Amino acid sequence: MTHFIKSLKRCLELSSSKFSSYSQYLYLVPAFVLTATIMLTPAVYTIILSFQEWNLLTEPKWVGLSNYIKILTRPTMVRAILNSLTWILGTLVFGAALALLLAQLVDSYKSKIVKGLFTIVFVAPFTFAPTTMSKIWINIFNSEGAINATLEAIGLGAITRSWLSLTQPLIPGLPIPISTVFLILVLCWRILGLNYLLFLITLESIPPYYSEAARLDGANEWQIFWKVKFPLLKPVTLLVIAKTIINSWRMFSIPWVMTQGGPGRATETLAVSMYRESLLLFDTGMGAAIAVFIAISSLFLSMRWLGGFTT
Amino acid sequence: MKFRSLLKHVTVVIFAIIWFIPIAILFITVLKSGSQFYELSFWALPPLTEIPKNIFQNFKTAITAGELLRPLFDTFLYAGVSSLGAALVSALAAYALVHLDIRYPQAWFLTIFGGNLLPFQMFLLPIYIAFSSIGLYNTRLGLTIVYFGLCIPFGLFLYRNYASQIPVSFFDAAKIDGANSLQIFWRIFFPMTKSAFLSVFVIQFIWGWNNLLFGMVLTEDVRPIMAMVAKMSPTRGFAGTPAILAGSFLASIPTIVIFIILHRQFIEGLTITR
Repeated sequence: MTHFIKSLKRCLELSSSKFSSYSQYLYLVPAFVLTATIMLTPAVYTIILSFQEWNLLTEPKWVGLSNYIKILTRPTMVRAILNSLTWILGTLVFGAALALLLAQLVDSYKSKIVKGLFTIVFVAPFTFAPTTMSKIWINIFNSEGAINATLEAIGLGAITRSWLSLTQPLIPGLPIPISTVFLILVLCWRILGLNYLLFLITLESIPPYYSEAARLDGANEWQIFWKVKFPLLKPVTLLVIAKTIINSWRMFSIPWVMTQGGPGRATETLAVSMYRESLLLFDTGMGAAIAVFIAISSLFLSMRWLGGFTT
Repeated sequence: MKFRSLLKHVTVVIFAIIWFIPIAILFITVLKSGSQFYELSFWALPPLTEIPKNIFQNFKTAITAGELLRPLFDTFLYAGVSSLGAALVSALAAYALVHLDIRYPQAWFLTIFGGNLLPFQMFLLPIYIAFSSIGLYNTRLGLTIVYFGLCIPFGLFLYRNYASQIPVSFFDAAKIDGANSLQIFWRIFFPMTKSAFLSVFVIQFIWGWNNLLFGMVLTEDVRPIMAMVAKMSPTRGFAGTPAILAGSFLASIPTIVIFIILHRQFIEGLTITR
Protein backbone atom coordinates (compact mmCIF):
# COMPACT_ATOMS: atom_id res chain seq x y z
CA MET A 1 0.00 0.00 0.00
CA THR A 2 2.70 2.48 1.00
CA HIS A 3 4.53 1.48 -2.11
CA PHE A 4 1.49 2.31 -4.21
CA ILE A 5 1.09 5.72 -2.60
CA LYS A 6 4.77 6.43 -3.11
CA SER A 7 4.62 5.64 -6.78
CA LEU A 8 1.46 7.65 -7.20
CA LYS A 9 3.19 10.59 -5.54
CA ARG A 10 6.14 10.29 -7.88
CA CYS A 11 3.79 10.17 -10.83
CA LEU A 12 2.13 13.40 -9.69
CA GLU A 13 5.47 15.08 -9.04
CA LEU A 14 6.71 14.12 -12.46
CA SER A 15 3.64 15.42 -14.21
CA SER A 16 3.60 18.59 -12.15
CA SER A 17 7.26 19.33 -12.87
CA LYS A 18 6.64 18.74 -16.55
CA PHE A 19 3.59 20.95 -16.31
CA SER A 20 5.36 23.71 -14.44
CA SER A 21 7.73 24.41 -17.30
CA TYR A 22 4.75 25.74 -19.20
CA SER A 23 2.63 26.86 -16.26
CA GLN A 24 3.86 30.45 -16.52
CA TYR A 25 1.82 30.76 -19.72
CA LEU A 26 -1.34 30.15 -17.68
CA TYR A 27 -0.96 33.67 -16.30
CA LEU A 28 -1.42 35.05 -19.80
CA VAL A 29 -4.46 32.94 -20.66
CA PRO A 30 -7.29 35.06 -19.18
CA ALA A 31 -5.96 38.32 -20.65
CA PHE A 32 -5.26 36.73 -24.01
CA VAL A 33 -8.58 34.88 -24.33
CA LEU A 34 -10.65 37.94 -23.39
CA THR A 35 -8.85 40.40 -25.66
CA ALA A 36 -8.78 37.88 -28.49
CA THR A 37 -12.55 37.33 -28.34
CA ILE A 38 -13.64 40.90 -27.64
CA MET A 39 -11.06 42.85 -29.66
CA LEU A 40 -8.78 40.96 -32.04
CA THR A 41 -11.26 38.60 -33.70
CA PRO A 42 -13.94 41.30 -34.06
CA ALA A 43 -11.35 43.67 -35.57
CA VAL A 44 -10.41 41.12 -38.23
CA TYR A 45 -14.09 40.43 -38.94
CA THR A 46 -14.79 44.16 -39.25
CA ILE A 47 -12.08 44.40 -41.92
CA ILE A 48 -13.72 41.54 -43.84
CA LEU A 49 -17.18 43.12 -43.46
CA SER A 50 -15.90 46.39 -44.86
CA PHE A 51 -15.43 44.80 -48.28
CA GLN A 52 -19.01 43.50 -48.30
CA GLU A 53 -22.51 44.78 -48.74
CA TRP A 54 -24.81 43.28 -46.15
CA ASN A 55 -28.09 44.29 -44.50
CA LEU A 56 -27.88 41.48 -41.89
CA LEU A 57 -30.78 39.61 -43.57
CA THR A 58 -29.79 38.61 -47.10
CA GLU A 59 -26.54 36.95 -48.13
CA PRO A 60 -23.51 39.24 -47.85
CA LYS A 61 -22.13 40.35 -51.21
CA TRP A 62 -18.48 41.13 -51.99
CA VAL A 63 -18.17 44.68 -53.30
CA GLY A 64 -14.43 45.31 -53.15
CA LEU A 65 -13.45 48.84 -52.28
CA SER A 66 -16.79 50.45 -53.08
CA ASN A 67 -17.61 51.18 -49.39
CA TYR A 68 -14.33 53.04 -49.04
CA ILE A 69 -14.96 54.98 -52.24
CA LYS A 70 -18.35 55.99 -50.81
CA ILE A 71 -16.64 57.34 -47.68
CA LEU A 72 -14.49 59.64 -49.76
CA THR A 73 -17.18 60.73 -52.24
CA ARG A 74 -20.60 60.79 -50.56
CA PRO A 75 -21.45 64.34 -49.40
CA THR A 76 -22.69 63.13 -45.98
CA MET A 77 -19.45 61.26 -45.37
CA VAL A 78 -17.22 64.08 -46.59
CA ARG A 79 -19.09 66.37 -44.21
CA ALA A 80 -18.58 63.89 -41.35
CA ILE A 81 -14.83 63.84 -42.03
CA LEU A 82 -14.70 67.64 -42.14
CA ASN A 83 -16.77 67.86 -38.95
CA SER A 84 -14.41 65.47 -37.18
CA LEU A 85 -11.39 67.49 -38.35
CA THR A 86 -13.07 70.60 -36.94
CA TRP A 87 -13.50 68.75 -33.66
CA ILE A 88 -9.76 68.11 -33.55
CA LEU A 89 -8.90 71.71 -34.33
CA GLY A 90 -11.42 73.14 -31.85
CA THR A 91 -10.40 70.89 -28.95
CA LEU A 92 -6.69 71.48 -29.59
CA VAL A 93 -7.25 75.22 -29.24
CA PHE A 94 -9.94 75.43 -26.53
CA GLY A 95 -9.24 72.13 -24.75
CA ALA A 96 -5.44 71.85 -24.87
CA ALA A 97 -3.80 75.22 -25.60
CA LEU A 98 -6.24 77.09 -23.34
CA ALA A 99 -5.57 74.49 -20.60
CA LEU A 100 -1.85 75.22 -20.82
CA LEU A 101 -2.46 78.97 -20.63
CA LEU A 102 -4.75 78.67 -17.61
CA ALA A 103 -2.43 76.21 -15.84
CA GLN A 104 0.49 78.60 -16.34
CA LEU A 105 -1.53 81.56 -15.04
CA VAL A 106 -2.94 79.71 -12.03
CA ASP A 107 0.47 78.22 -11.20
CA SER A 108 1.84 81.74 -10.68
CA TYR A 109 -0.54 82.35 -7.75
CA LYS A 110 1.27 81.98 -4.45
CA SER A 111 -1.81 81.27 -2.32
CA LYS A 112 -2.69 77.59 -2.08
CA ILE A 113 -6.37 78.41 -1.47
CA VAL A 114 -6.69 80.53 -4.64
CA LYS A 115 -4.94 77.82 -6.63
CA GLY A 116 -7.17 75.13 -5.17
CA LEU A 117 -10.38 77.05 -5.86
CA PHE A 118 -9.53 77.68 -9.51
CA THR A 119 -8.46 74.07 -9.90
CA ILE A 120 -11.78 72.81 -8.50
CA VAL A 121 -13.73 75.07 -10.87
CA PHE A 122 -11.76 73.96 -13.95
CA VAL A 123 -11.63 70.25 -13.08
CA ALA A 124 -15.24 69.86 -11.87
CA PRO A 125 -16.70 69.47 -15.40
CA PHE A 126 -14.33 66.58 -16.09
CA THR A 127 -16.00 64.52 -13.36
CA PHE A 128 -19.33 64.71 -15.22
CA ALA A 129 -20.10 61.98 -17.73
CA PRO A 130 -20.29 63.19 -21.36
CA THR A 131 -23.95 62.20 -21.41
CA THR A 132 -24.69 64.20 -18.26
CA MET A 133 -22.89 67.23 -19.65
CA SER A 134 -24.69 67.01 -22.93
CA LYS A 135 -28.02 67.13 -21.10
CA ILE A 136 -26.93 70.28 -19.28
CA TRP A 137 -25.67 71.95 -22.47
CA ILE A 138 -28.83 71.16 -24.47
CA ASN A 139 -30.49 73.31 -21.84
CA ILE A 140 -28.08 76.12 -22.70
CA PHE A 141 -28.30 76.06 -26.49
CA ASN A 142 -31.94 75.16 -27.21
CA SER A 143 -34.64 77.72 -27.92
CA GLU A 144 -35.77 78.07 -24.27
CA GLY A 145 -32.20 77.71 -23.04
CA ALA A 146 -29.80 79.86 -21.07
CA ILE A 147 -28.34 81.80 -23.99
CA ASN A 148 -31.70 82.87 -25.37
CA ALA A 149 -33.09 83.68 -21.91
CA THR A 150 -30.08 85.88 -21.23
CA LEU A 151 -30.29 87.57 -24.64
CA GLU A 152 -33.96 88.37 -24.04
CA ALA A 153 -33.25 89.68 -20.56
CA ILE A 154 -30.72 92.17 -21.89
CA GLY A 155 -32.96 93.27 -24.76
CA LEU A 156 -31.41 91.29 -27.57
CA GLY A 157 -34.48 89.09 -28.11
CA ALA A 158 -34.16 89.67 -31.86
CA ILE A 159 -31.13 87.42 -32.24
CA THR A 160 -32.43 84.46 -30.25
CA ARG A 161 -32.50 81.18 -32.14
CA SER A 162 -32.14 77.45 -31.72
CA TRP A 163 -28.36 77.38 -31.71
CA LEU A 164 -28.00 73.68 -32.42
CA SER A 165 -30.03 73.94 -35.64
CA LEU A 166 -27.74 76.45 -37.35
CA THR A 167 -26.74 74.59 -40.49
CA GLN A 168 -25.24 77.57 -42.34
CA PRO A 169 -21.64 76.83 -43.31
CA LEU A 170 -19.04 77.91 -40.81
CA ILE A 171 -16.54 78.66 -43.57
CA PRO A 172 -18.04 79.62 -46.95
CA GLY A 173 -17.68 76.74 -49.39
CA LEU A 174 -17.13 74.00 -46.80
CA PRO A 175 -20.14 71.96 -45.58
CA ILE A 176 -19.30 72.36 -41.89
CA PRO A 177 -22.37 73.68 -40.03
CA ILE A 178 -22.01 76.44 -37.43
CA SER A 179 -23.70 74.24 -34.82
CA THR A 180 -20.68 71.89 -34.87
CA VAL A 181 -18.77 74.63 -33.06
CA PHE A 182 -21.26 74.61 -30.19
CA LEU A 183 -20.96 70.84 -29.84
CA ILE A 184 -17.17 71.12 -29.77
CA LEU A 185 -17.34 73.68 -26.96
CA VAL A 186 -19.13 71.05 -24.84
CA LEU A 187 -16.21 68.64 -25.18
CA CYS A 188 -13.74 71.47 -24.52
CA TRP A 189 -15.64 72.30 -21.34
CA ARG A 190 -15.06 68.75 -20.17
CA ILE A 191 -11.52 67.89 -21.26
CA LEU A 192 -9.96 71.25 -20.38
CA GLY A 193 -10.07 70.20 -16.74
CA LEU A 194 -8.05 67.04 -17.20
CA ASN A 195 -5.50 68.71 -19.49
CA TYR A 196 -5.23 71.65 -17.09
CA LEU A 197 -4.57 69.26 -14.22
CA LEU A 198 -1.86 67.39 -16.17
CA PHE A 199 -0.15 70.69 -17.06
CA LEU A 200 -0.50 72.14 -13.56
CA ILE A 201 1.01 69.09 -11.87
CA THR A 202 3.99 69.19 -14.22
CA LEU A 203 4.44 72.95 -13.72
CA GLU A 204 4.34 72.52 -9.95
CA SER A 205 7.02 69.85 -10.17
CA ILE A 206 9.48 72.31 -11.79
CA PRO A 207 11.75 73.66 -9.02
CA PRO A 208 11.19 77.43 -8.59
CA TYR A 209 14.93 78.20 -8.71
CA TYR A 210 14.98 77.31 -12.42
CA SER A 211 12.93 80.38 -13.25
CA GLU A 212 14.61 82.48 -10.56
CA ALA A 213 18.02 81.78 -12.06
CA ALA A 214 16.71 82.73 -15.50
CA ARG A 215 15.17 85.91 -14.07
CA LEU A 216 18.52 86.88 -12.49
CA ASP A 217 20.10 86.45 -15.91
CA GLY A 218 17.61 89.00 -17.22
CA ALA A 219 15.03 86.78 -18.90
CA ASN A 220 11.45 88.10 -19.06
CA GLU A 221 8.34 86.02 -18.21
CA TRP A 222 7.74 85.15 -21.87
CA GLN A 223 11.29 83.85 -22.29
CA ILE A 224 11.14 81.96 -18.98
CA PHE A 225 8.00 80.17 -20.13
CA TRP A 226 9.26 79.17 -23.57
CA LYS A 227 12.95 78.59 -22.80
CA VAL A 228 12.80 77.14 -19.28
CA LYS A 229 9.38 75.66 -18.61
CA PHE A 230 8.14 74.55 -22.00
CA PRO A 231 10.99 72.08 -22.68
CA LEU A 232 10.14 70.41 -19.37
CA LEU A 233 6.45 70.34 -20.33
CA LYS A 234 7.12 68.64 -23.64
CA PRO A 235 6.30 65.03 -22.65
CA VAL A 236 3.01 65.98 -21.02
CA THR A 237 2.17 68.27 -23.95
CA LEU A 238 2.63 65.39 -26.39
CA LEU A 239 0.41 63.21 -24.20
CA VAL A 240 -2.30 65.89 -24.07
CA ILE A 241 -2.16 66.57 -27.82
CA ALA A 242 -2.36 62.90 -28.74
CA LYS A 243 -5.17 62.20 -26.28
CA THR A 244 -7.11 65.24 -27.45
CA ILE A 245 -6.76 64.36 -31.15
CA ILE A 246 -7.82 60.74 -30.67
CA ASN A 247 -10.68 61.67 -28.36
CA SER A 248 -12.10 64.19 -30.84
CA TRP A 249 -11.57 62.02 -33.90
CA ARG A 250 -13.59 59.19 -32.30
CA MET A 251 -16.22 61.36 -30.60
CA PHE A 252 -19.63 59.73 -30.38
CA SER A 253 -21.51 60.48 -27.18
CA ILE A 254 -21.72 64.29 -27.21
CA PRO A 255 -23.02 64.78 -30.79
CA TRP A 256 -25.27 61.75 -30.40
CA VAL A 257 -26.94 62.92 -27.18
CA MET A 258 -27.18 66.57 -28.21
CA THR A 259 -28.30 66.46 -31.84
CA GLN A 260 -28.22 62.79 -32.92
CA GLY A 261 -26.14 64.09 -35.80
CA GLY A 262 -28.93 66.45 -36.90
CA PRO A 263 -30.54 68.56 -38.14
CA GLY A 264 -30.62 66.11 -41.00
CA ARG A 265 -27.14 64.65 -40.84
CA ALA A 266 -25.40 68.01 -40.60
CA THR A 267 -23.46 67.63 -37.34
CA GLU A 268 -22.49 63.98 -37.68
CA THR A 269 -19.00 63.00 -36.65
CA LEU A 270 -17.39 59.89 -38.15
CA ALA A 271 -18.41 57.78 -35.15
CA VAL A 272 -22.04 58.95 -35.37
CA SER A 273 -22.07 58.19 -39.12
CA MET A 274 -20.73 54.74 -38.40
CA TYR A 275 -23.53 54.10 -35.90
CA ARG A 276 -26.21 55.48 -38.22
CA GLU A 277 -25.07 53.64 -41.35
CA SER A 278 -24.70 50.26 -39.68
CA LEU A 279 -27.34 50.13 -36.94
CA LEU A 280 -30.06 52.49 -38.16
CA LEU A 281 -29.73 52.18 -41.96
CA PHE A 282 -28.53 48.53 -41.83
CA ASP A 283 -25.64 49.07 -44.22
CA THR A 284 -23.31 46.86 -42.19
CA GLY A 285 -20.49 46.89 -44.73
CA MET A 286 -20.51 50.68 -44.90
CA GLY A 287 -20.42 50.92 -41.10
CA ALA A 288 -17.49 48.51 -40.99
CA ALA A 289 -15.65 50.51 -43.64
CA ILE A 290 -16.11 53.72 -41.63
CA ALA A 291 -14.77 51.88 -38.56
CA VAL A 292 -11.67 50.77 -40.49
CA PHE A 293 -11.28 54.32 -41.82
CA ILE A 294 -11.40 55.75 -38.27
CA ALA A 295 -8.91 53.09 -37.12
CA ILE A 296 -6.34 53.65 -39.87
CA SER A 297 -6.58 57.44 -39.72
CA SER A 298 -6.22 57.52 -35.93
CA LEU A 299 -3.14 55.31 -36.19
CA PHE A 300 -1.66 57.95 -38.46
CA LEU A 301 -2.78 60.75 -36.15
CA SER A 302 -1.28 59.08 -33.09
CA MET A 303 1.93 57.70 -34.59
CA ARG A 304 4.08 59.30 -31.91
CA TRP A 305 2.11 57.95 -29.05
CA LEU A 306 1.33 54.27 -28.63
CA GLY A 307 0.26 54.18 -25.00
CA GLY A 308 -2.84 55.39 -23.29
CA PHE A 309 -6.50 54.78 -23.81
CA THR A 310 -9.70 56.34 -25.07
CA THR A 311 -12.66 57.59 -23.14
CA MET B 1 4.00 95.11 -15.19
CA LYS B 2 0.91 96.16 -13.24
CA PHE B 3 -1.21 95.97 -16.40
CA ARG B 4 0.06 92.49 -17.15
CA SER B 5 -0.84 91.09 -13.74
CA LEU B 6 -4.28 92.71 -13.99
CA LEU B 7 -4.72 91.06 -17.39
CA LYS B 8 -3.73 87.74 -15.82
CA HIS B 9 -6.30 87.99 -13.01
CA VAL B 10 -9.05 89.04 -15.42
CA THR B 11 -8.31 86.17 -17.83
CA VAL B 12 -8.34 83.51 -15.13
CA VAL B 13 -11.47 84.86 -13.46
CA ILE B 14 -13.40 85.18 -16.74
CA PHE B 15 -12.64 81.61 -17.75
CA ALA B 16 -13.41 80.37 -14.23
CA ILE B 17 -16.84 82.05 -14.46
CA ILE B 18 -17.50 80.60 -17.92
CA TRP B 19 -16.49 77.17 -16.65
CA PHE B 20 -18.74 77.49 -13.61
CA ILE B 21 -21.89 78.74 -15.40
CA PRO B 22 -23.09 75.34 -16.74
CA ILE B 23 -22.80 73.83 -13.26
CA ALA B 24 -24.70 76.79 -11.86
CA ILE B 25 -27.38 76.22 -14.51
CA LEU B 26 -27.60 72.57 -13.48
CA PHE B 27 -28.22 73.50 -9.84
CA ILE B 28 -30.57 76.42 -10.55
CA THR B 29 -32.69 74.19 -12.76
CA VAL B 30 -32.84 71.27 -10.33
CA LEU B 31 -34.12 73.66 -7.60
CA LYS B 32 -37.26 74.39 -9.64
CA SER B 33 -40.35 72.32 -10.15
CA GLY B 34 -41.40 71.32 -13.67
CA SER B 35 -43.99 74.09 -13.90
CA GLN B 36 -41.79 76.74 -12.28
CA PHE B 37 -39.20 76.04 -14.96
CA TYR B 38 -41.61 77.38 -17.58
CA GLU B 39 -43.22 80.11 -15.45
CA LEU B 40 -40.17 81.71 -13.87
CA SER B 41 -37.44 83.36 -15.92
CA PHE B 42 -34.41 81.17 -16.62
CA TRP B 43 -32.04 82.58 -14.02
CA ALA B 44 -34.65 83.15 -11.28
CA LEU B 45 -34.74 81.00 -8.18
CA PRO B 46 -38.02 79.60 -6.81
CA PRO B 47 -39.27 80.62 -3.31
CA LEU B 48 -36.82 79.34 -0.73
CA THR B 49 -39.38 77.23 1.12
CA GLU B 50 -40.22 75.19 -1.95
CA ILE B 51 -36.64 74.26 -2.81
CA PRO B 52 -36.26 71.09 -0.68
CA LYS B 53 -39.60 69.78 -1.93
CA ASN B 54 -38.66 70.53 -5.56
CA ILE B 55 -35.28 68.82 -5.30
CA PHE B 56 -36.85 65.74 -3.74
CA GLN B 57 -39.61 65.69 -6.35
CA ASN B 58 -37.17 66.07 -9.27
CA PHE B 59 -34.95 63.20 -8.16
CA LYS B 60 -38.01 61.09 -7.40
CA THR B 61 -39.45 61.73 -10.86
CA ALA B 62 -36.10 60.98 -12.46
CA ILE B 63 -35.86 57.65 -10.66
CA THR B 64 -39.48 56.58 -11.23
CA ALA B 65 -40.38 58.03 -14.65
CA GLY B 66 -36.83 57.65 -15.94
CA GLU B 67 -36.56 54.14 -14.46
CA LEU B 68 -33.06 54.86 -13.19
CA LEU B 69 -32.89 52.55 -10.19
CA ARG B 70 -32.26 49.27 -12.03
CA PRO B 71 -29.65 50.80 -14.37
CA LEU B 72 -27.80 52.29 -11.39
CA PHE B 73 -27.36 48.83 -9.86
CA ASP B 74 -26.66 47.19 -13.21
CA THR B 75 -24.01 49.74 -14.11
CA PHE B 76 -22.29 49.15 -10.77
CA LEU B 77 -22.15 45.52 -11.81
CA TYR B 78 -20.88 46.24 -15.36
CA ALA B 79 -18.27 48.83 -14.44
CA GLY B 80 -17.32 47.24 -11.11
CA VAL B 81 -16.81 43.65 -12.26
CA SER B 82 -15.03 44.66 -15.45
CA SER B 83 -12.64 47.16 -13.85
CA LEU B 84 -11.75 44.96 -10.87
CA GLY B 85 -11.52 41.87 -13.06
CA ALA B 86 -9.40 43.62 -15.66
CA ALA B 87 -7.06 44.92 -12.98
CA LEU B 88 -6.53 41.37 -11.66
CA VAL B 89 -6.22 39.72 -15.08
CA SER B 90 -3.77 42.31 -16.34
CA ALA B 91 -1.76 42.03 -13.12
CA LEU B 92 -1.38 38.29 -13.75
CA ALA B 93 -0.35 38.87 -17.36
CA ALA B 94 2.09 41.67 -16.55
CA TYR B 95 3.67 39.55 -13.81
CA ALA B 96 4.26 36.71 -16.25
CA LEU B 97 5.58 39.00 -19.01
CA VAL B 98 8.05 40.82 -16.78
CA HIS B 99 9.15 38.27 -14.19
CA LEU B 100 8.50 34.78 -15.54
CA ASP B 101 10.24 32.86 -18.26
CA ILE B 102 7.99 33.66 -21.23
CA ARG B 103 9.25 33.36 -24.77
CA TYR B 104 8.71 36.45 -26.96
CA PRO B 105 7.27 38.67 -24.18
CA GLN B 106 7.16 41.67 -26.54
CA ALA B 107 5.00 39.77 -29.04
CA TRP B 108 2.59 38.68 -26.29
CA PHE B 109 2.39 42.22 -25.01
CA LEU B 110 1.65 43.69 -28.42
CA THR B 111 -0.96 41.02 -29.14
CA ILE B 112 -2.90 41.78 -25.96
CA PHE B 113 -2.27 45.52 -26.02
CA GLY B 114 -2.77 46.03 -29.77
CA GLY B 115 -6.55 46.31 -29.53
CA ASN B 116 -6.12 49.51 -27.57
CA LEU B 117 -4.85 51.31 -30.65
CA LEU B 118 -8.15 50.66 -32.41
CA PRO B 119 -11.37 52.62 -31.95
CA PHE B 120 -14.32 50.84 -30.34
CA GLN B 121 -16.17 51.02 -33.66
CA MET B 122 -13.84 48.26 -34.88
CA PHE B 123 -15.33 45.78 -32.39
CA LEU B 124 -18.93 46.91 -32.26
CA LEU B 125 -20.58 45.21 -35.25
CA PRO B 126 -18.99 41.74 -34.94
CA ILE B 127 -19.78 41.65 -31.20
CA TYR B 128 -23.36 42.72 -31.95
CA ILE B 129 -23.75 40.07 -34.65
CA ALA B 130 -22.11 37.32 -32.58
CA PHE B 131 -24.02 38.16 -29.39
CA SER B 132 -27.33 38.14 -31.30
CA SER B 133 -26.66 34.63 -32.58
CA ILE B 134 -25.35 33.06 -29.33
CA GLY B 135 -27.93 34.62 -27.01
CA LEU B 136 -25.69 37.13 -25.22
CA TYR B 137 -27.46 40.13 -26.76
CA ASN B 138 -29.42 42.06 -24.12
CA THR B 139 -27.85 40.17 -21.20
CA ARG B 140 -25.92 41.46 -18.19
CA LEU B 141 -23.28 38.78 -18.74
CA GLY B 142 -22.72 39.88 -22.34
CA LEU B 143 -22.14 43.55 -21.60
CA THR B 144 -19.93 42.71 -18.61
CA ILE B 145 -17.72 40.48 -20.78
CA VAL B 146 -17.38 43.25 -23.37
CA TYR B 147 -16.37 45.88 -20.81
CA PHE B 148 -14.04 43.34 -19.16
CA GLY B 149 -12.21 42.63 -22.42
CA LEU B 150 -11.97 46.29 -23.41
CA CYS B 151 -10.40 47.22 -20.06
CA ILE B 152 -7.54 44.71 -20.24
CA PRO B 153 -5.10 46.29 -22.76
CA PHE B 154 -4.78 49.55 -20.85
CA GLY B 155 -4.53 47.61 -17.58
CA LEU B 156 -1.70 45.51 -18.95
CA PHE B 157 0.09 48.60 -20.28
CA LEU B 158 -0.05 50.29 -16.91
CA TYR B 159 0.80 47.18 -14.90
CA ARG B 160 3.77 46.37 -17.08
CA ASN B 161 5.26 49.78 -16.34
CA TYR B 162 4.89 49.28 -12.62
CA ALA B 163 6.09 45.68 -12.77
CA SER B 164 9.34 46.58 -14.51
CA GLN B 165 10.15 49.01 -11.69
CA ILE B 166 10.21 46.29 -9.01
CA PRO B 167 13.79 45.07 -8.41
CA VAL B 168 14.26 41.44 -9.48
CA SER B 169 16.05 40.70 -6.20
CA PHE B 170 12.70 40.60 -4.37
CA PHE B 171 11.58 37.73 -6.55
CA ASP B 172 14.91 35.93 -6.43
CA ALA B 173 14.93 36.06 -2.63
CA ALA B 174 11.43 34.58 -2.47
CA LYS B 175 12.39 31.91 -4.98
CA ILE B 176 15.38 30.86 -2.90
CA ASP B 177 13.09 30.61 0.13
CA GLY B 178 11.08 28.09 -1.86
CA ALA B 179 8.03 30.14 -2.89
CA ASN B 180 6.31 29.08 -6.12
CA SER B 181 5.32 31.57 -8.77
CA LEU B 182 1.71 31.92 -7.59
CA GLN B 183 2.86 32.59 -4.01
CA ILE B 184 5.31 35.20 -5.26
CA PHE B 185 2.48 36.83 -7.20
CA TRP B 186 0.12 37.05 -4.23
CA ARG B 187 2.64 37.79 -1.49
CA ILE B 188 5.07 40.09 -3.31
CA PHE B 189 3.98 41.28 -6.74
CA PHE B 190 0.35 42.07 -5.98
CA PRO B 191 0.94 44.02 -2.73
CA MET B 192 3.81 45.94 -4.34
CA THR B 193 1.70 47.08 -7.27
CA LYS B 194 -1.32 48.23 -5.28
CA SER B 195 -1.24 51.73 -6.74
CA ALA B 196 -1.36 50.23 -10.25
CA PHE B 197 -4.41 48.25 -9.20
CA LEU B 198 -6.14 51.39 -7.97
CA SER B 199 -5.18 53.33 -11.12
CA VAL B 200 -6.57 50.64 -13.42
CA PHE B 201 -9.68 50.37 -11.27
CA VAL B 202 -10.48 54.08 -11.13
CA ILE B 203 -9.74 54.83 -14.79
CA GLN B 204 -11.62 51.83 -16.12
CA PHE B 205 -14.53 52.11 -13.68
CA ILE B 206 -15.15 55.69 -14.77
CA TRP B 207 -14.74 54.68 -18.43
CA GLY B 208 -17.18 51.79 -18.10
CA TRP B 209 -19.68 53.86 -16.15
CA ASN B 210 -19.62 56.67 -18.71
CA ASN B 211 -19.63 54.52 -21.84
CA LEU B 212 -22.70 55.04 -23.99
CA LEU B 213 -22.09 53.22 -27.28
CA PHE B 214 -21.92 49.57 -26.20
CA GLY B 215 -24.87 49.82 -23.83
CA MET B 216 -26.99 51.40 -26.57
CA VAL B 217 -26.11 48.73 -29.13
CA LEU B 218 -25.84 45.54 -27.08
CA THR B 219 -28.76 45.85 -24.63
CA GLU B 220 -32.43 46.78 -24.55
CA ASP B 221 -33.92 45.76 -21.20
CA VAL B 222 -30.73 45.80 -19.13
CA ARG B 223 -29.35 49.10 -20.43
CA PRO B 224 -26.61 50.79 -18.40
CA ILE B 225 -27.29 54.17 -16.83
CA MET B 226 -25.87 56.39 -19.59
CA ALA B 227 -28.00 54.77 -22.27
CA MET B 228 -31.07 55.39 -20.07
CA VAL B 229 -30.11 59.02 -19.45
CA ALA B 230 -29.41 59.62 -23.14
CA LYS B 231 -32.99 58.81 -24.12
CA MET B 232 -34.69 60.92 -21.45
CA SER B 233 -36.37 63.87 -23.14
CA PRO B 234 -39.32 66.18 -22.47
CA THR B 235 -41.06 64.92 -25.60
CA ARG B 236 -41.28 61.37 -24.27
CA GLY B 237 -43.94 62.26 -21.71
CA PHE B 238 -41.18 62.90 -19.21
CA ALA B 239 -41.80 65.36 -16.40
CA GLY B 240 -39.83 68.30 -17.74
CA THR B 241 -36.32 69.66 -17.82
CA PRO B 242 -35.62 69.87 -14.03
CA ALA B 243 -36.27 66.16 -13.58
CA ILE B 244 -34.14 65.29 -16.62
CA LEU B 245 -31.21 67.29 -15.26
CA ALA B 246 -31.72 65.73 -11.82
CA GLY B 247 -31.52 62.29 -13.42
CA SER B 248 -28.46 63.20 -15.48
CA PHE B 249 -26.72 64.52 -12.40
CA LEU B 250 -27.71 61.45 -10.37
CA ALA B 251 -26.10 59.29 -13.06
CA SER B 252 -22.76 61.05 -12.55
CA ILE B 253 -22.70 61.12 -8.73
CA PRO B 254 -20.95 57.72 -8.31
CA THR B 255 -18.10 58.65 -10.65
CA ILE B 256 -17.77 62.11 -9.10
CA VAL B 257 -17.36 60.50 -5.66
CA ILE B 258 -14.87 57.93 -6.94
CA PHE B 259 -12.87 60.60 -8.77
CA ILE B 260 -12.69 62.77 -5.65
CA ILE B 261 -11.40 59.83 -3.60
CA LEU B 262 -8.98 58.42 -6.18
CA HIS B 263 -7.99 61.42 -8.34
CA ARG B 264 -4.31 60.95 -7.46
CA GLN B 265 -4.30 57.41 -8.82
CA PHE B 266 -6.28 58.56 -11.85
CA ILE B 267 -3.68 61.16 -12.82
CA GLU B 268 -0.79 58.83 -11.94
CA GLY B 269 -2.27 56.20 -14.25
CA LEU B 270 -2.45 58.64 -17.13
CA THR B 271 1.01 60.14 -16.81
CA ILE B 272 3.07 57.01 -16.19
CA THR B 273 5.71 56.65 -18.87
CA ARG B 274 7.36 53.64 -20.34
